[in-house]
Amino acid sequence: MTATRQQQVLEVLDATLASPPMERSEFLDQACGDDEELRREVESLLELEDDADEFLPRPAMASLTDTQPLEKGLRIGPYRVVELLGRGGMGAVYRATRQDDFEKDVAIKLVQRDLIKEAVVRRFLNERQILARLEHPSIAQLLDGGTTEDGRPYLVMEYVHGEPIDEYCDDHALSVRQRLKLFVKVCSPLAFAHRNLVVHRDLKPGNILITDEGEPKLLDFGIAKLLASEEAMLGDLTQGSEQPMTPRYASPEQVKRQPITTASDIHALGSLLYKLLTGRLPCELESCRFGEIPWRICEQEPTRPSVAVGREEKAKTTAGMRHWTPESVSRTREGDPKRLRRRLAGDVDAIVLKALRKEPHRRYGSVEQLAADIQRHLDGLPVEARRGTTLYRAGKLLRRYRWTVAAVLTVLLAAGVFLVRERQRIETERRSLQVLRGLVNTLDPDRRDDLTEALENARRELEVLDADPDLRSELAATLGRIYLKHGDTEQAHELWSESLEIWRQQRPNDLSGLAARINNVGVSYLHQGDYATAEKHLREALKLRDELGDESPDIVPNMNNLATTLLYRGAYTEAEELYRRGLNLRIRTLGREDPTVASSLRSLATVIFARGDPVAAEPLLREAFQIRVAAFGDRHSEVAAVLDLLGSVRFAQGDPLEAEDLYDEALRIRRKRLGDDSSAVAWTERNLGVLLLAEGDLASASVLLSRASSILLRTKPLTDWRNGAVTSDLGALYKAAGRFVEAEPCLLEGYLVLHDARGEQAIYTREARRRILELYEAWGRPEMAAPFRMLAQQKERAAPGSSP
Amino acid sequence: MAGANSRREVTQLLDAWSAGDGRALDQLMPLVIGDLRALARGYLGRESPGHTLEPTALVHEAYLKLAGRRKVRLESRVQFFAVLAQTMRRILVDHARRKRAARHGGGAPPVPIEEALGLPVEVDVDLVALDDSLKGLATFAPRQAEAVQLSYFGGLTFEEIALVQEVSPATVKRDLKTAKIWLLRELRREGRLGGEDPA
Repeated sequence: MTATRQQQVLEVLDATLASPPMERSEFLDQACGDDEELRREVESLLELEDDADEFLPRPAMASLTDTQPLEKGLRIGPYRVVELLGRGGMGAVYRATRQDDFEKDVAIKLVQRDLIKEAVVRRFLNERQILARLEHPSIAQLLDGGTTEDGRPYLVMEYVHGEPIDEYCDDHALSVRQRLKLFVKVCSPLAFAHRNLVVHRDLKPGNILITDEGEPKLLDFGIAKLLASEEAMLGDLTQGSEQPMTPRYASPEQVKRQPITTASDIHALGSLLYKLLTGRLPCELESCRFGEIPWRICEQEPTRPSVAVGREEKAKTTAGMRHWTPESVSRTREGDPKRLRRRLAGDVDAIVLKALRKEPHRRYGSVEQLAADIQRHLDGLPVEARRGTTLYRAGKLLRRYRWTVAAVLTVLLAAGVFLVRERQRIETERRSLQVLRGLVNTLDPDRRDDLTEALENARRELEVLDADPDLRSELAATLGRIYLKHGDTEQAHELWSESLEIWRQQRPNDLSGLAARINNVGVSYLHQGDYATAEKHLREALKLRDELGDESPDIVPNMNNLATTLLYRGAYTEAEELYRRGLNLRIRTLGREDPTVASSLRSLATVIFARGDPVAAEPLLREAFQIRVAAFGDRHSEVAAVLDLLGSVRFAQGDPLEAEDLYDEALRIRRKRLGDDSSAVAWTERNLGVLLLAEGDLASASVLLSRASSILLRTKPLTDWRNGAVTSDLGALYKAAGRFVEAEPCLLEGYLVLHDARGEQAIYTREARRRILELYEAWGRPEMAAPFRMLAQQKERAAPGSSP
Repeated sequence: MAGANSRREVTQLLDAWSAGDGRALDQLMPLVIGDLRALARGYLGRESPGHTLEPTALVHEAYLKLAGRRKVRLESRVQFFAVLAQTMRRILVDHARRKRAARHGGGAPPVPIEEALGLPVEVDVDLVALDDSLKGLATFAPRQAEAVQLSYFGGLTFEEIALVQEVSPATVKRDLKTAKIWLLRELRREGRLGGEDPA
């Protein structure tokens, strides 16, 4: 055939394909006319149409996890595939029948073709060996095994006709009691496996099917492990990068690659029970940000089931967008939200949380114990999970919250001492003790929610404590500080406003006390991100002080608060002036070595750095560092605060290596002194993350930034500029990873928060804006960048607050 | 990973190639592949269970790494994919050819292609035969042959191929279908349909 002829055939073929199938014959009559050979040629090609759809179905570079589709009818050994049941980390599972016995269905697990590697084959043998020793009516039995012609190992197992346990429960609208009973049944095969030294390691609803008879069947021991003595023989399969697991059901020790024991299965059972009771997982990982998963699993305490069911939540899950409301969750459980909540509160909460403890040794000691505790609850007996908690709480609590308790105690006792009347004093002390006891009894070191509860109790006590306005005002101020320290700015604001109100009414002539309280309220606005109102209050407080002729260093905090507010509003000049005034006042009255001088130096450096002069900021910080080390030693959190800023200043001067060292040191100190989850630690992690991102270490940056973001979102308001900054950082991370679609919303959101919180000219806002421009350029969407480019050209707006 | 120099080089080469300099392509390939490999390794090394990575995503990323922050027009991004498709085809076909030669006693067997590329490659056709048939097809239906190259070797979507070829996506879809039918017939006629030996 000549090229011209071939071209003609192809053109007719092409045109025929474009016409509707019913009209093809007619079309060919027309197109070929008398040319019989042409028509035969085209018709023979058309016969290949269906086959051609299967030809070169995907690019030569295979997707990394996908496998080739397996046609119905494919033969695996003596079996014939009926349908694909699912895909896993190593391969696919098919429903099949034996060629000589069509009646009986089996499930066949087949290794993916490009995964035939020693490790995978070894894992297959492992599963085979494990299943061979687990004969239990609730465990899917191993029937056969072999190798296909192209060398892929396969396992033949009992085919279980059933429904995943979570779907089964919802479809049958099982009550909490029925769910718990079913769950106890699931424990039995698992306890059996554990007695045979087998840990399942991949428990999830998809691996626990409920048959039509309502009996559970445990499937998929694909990554199960033999414990102890057998381990040496088989080699340790828990380690190494080949290990697939289901992250949503993974335990902290699995994520950390620590030794896996039966306790890991207990954790997974806890997650499963949580899911059955609340409809969601203790941590819905699909809603996690990039890189956040390990942290969530290892650190974040789950919300109590009874609290979770009352929450409205949205999350993207593998099954699409899920939306939980108290109504939707209770509909398939107890009928109404209130009843469901009551049903779960107490025993059930305690049992689930005990199974989910982060530390393996604090969970139930065995599956039997977990099952037995649920059974006790079902039988109306006291459960183990709640035993000894009061004592346990008190001890742990005093260690963890000692400063909180101490602060309240100090105020209460100090107030008591000044009360003249004996009876009143005794009353106050009694009340004080009540407040304290309430605090101690309601606090559980494992749960943040309880701190709120305790503080609320303390507040209620405060309302009863109406005898003495000084005491009430002071207690309100102290509780406000505690709330602020825990990131609850709204409560702090409320308490400080209350403290101010009491003062205004009872001590209107004590202007110094009034100024201090107005200052507090101003600070609470500052923390809430309402800079305009903060500025108003802080100016008012400072004016009062000035009118009193106060020249003591006591007024410097007030000045600094105002300066910080102005800094956040972009009014650098006045902020710098105020910080300088404070600095000079302190040097004059307290001497150059005083620790408060260091604070002023650091603040001054902050504003100088913010207006873009890291070189001038550096010597101030070096001096602050020396003062603080001399005053507190080199391991103090105040020293860390200087190191953190010094890191940023060095980084801005093009010295990432020294900056990294400085951040590292700051982090070490802050973690030790302030705890891993403090916002100060998060901020340094953020700084280090940004540095590593710039250096191209995306993996480390993603861990640091996502962790920092999680903490800041919890400890600062959503509108806080720090949340804006870190959200933009995450966007930059996505962008660096080439994931523009995810980068865009992060960058925009971060920018908007910064824009609102700090104004257009703040250093962080400018950086966030620059990133957006870069994203759209790299993305090839310059038209989207246009508005941001215009913003960049705007002049610095008139500094707010410069006019009274 | 491409440093600043090779990044600049790639940009220049891309420009030269789009200006019609065919030699630029040969210089571009090792750079492209080097980076693609590094990227793939990065992904495979980083454990991300449940995270699927499409080949096109890799290609996008390779391009971004290479072209850096330079202003990128959509067309030049798509041209890059076209380069990549050409590159992949050459590499895979050469590999298949060398492997065949090795089987007939021509020296040591080459390393498996997956290893060479650092990417899993899924091939169930005789690549040498496919390449021959594609060359044949290109003599009288160049657009259709190119569409197959872009789709099969480059992993481009219909829309992306449409951009490269300046036709509508519907045309691309039909071209691919026609071309596949043709190629399938060619391969069957020569009895050369069938898998490469499992690597």
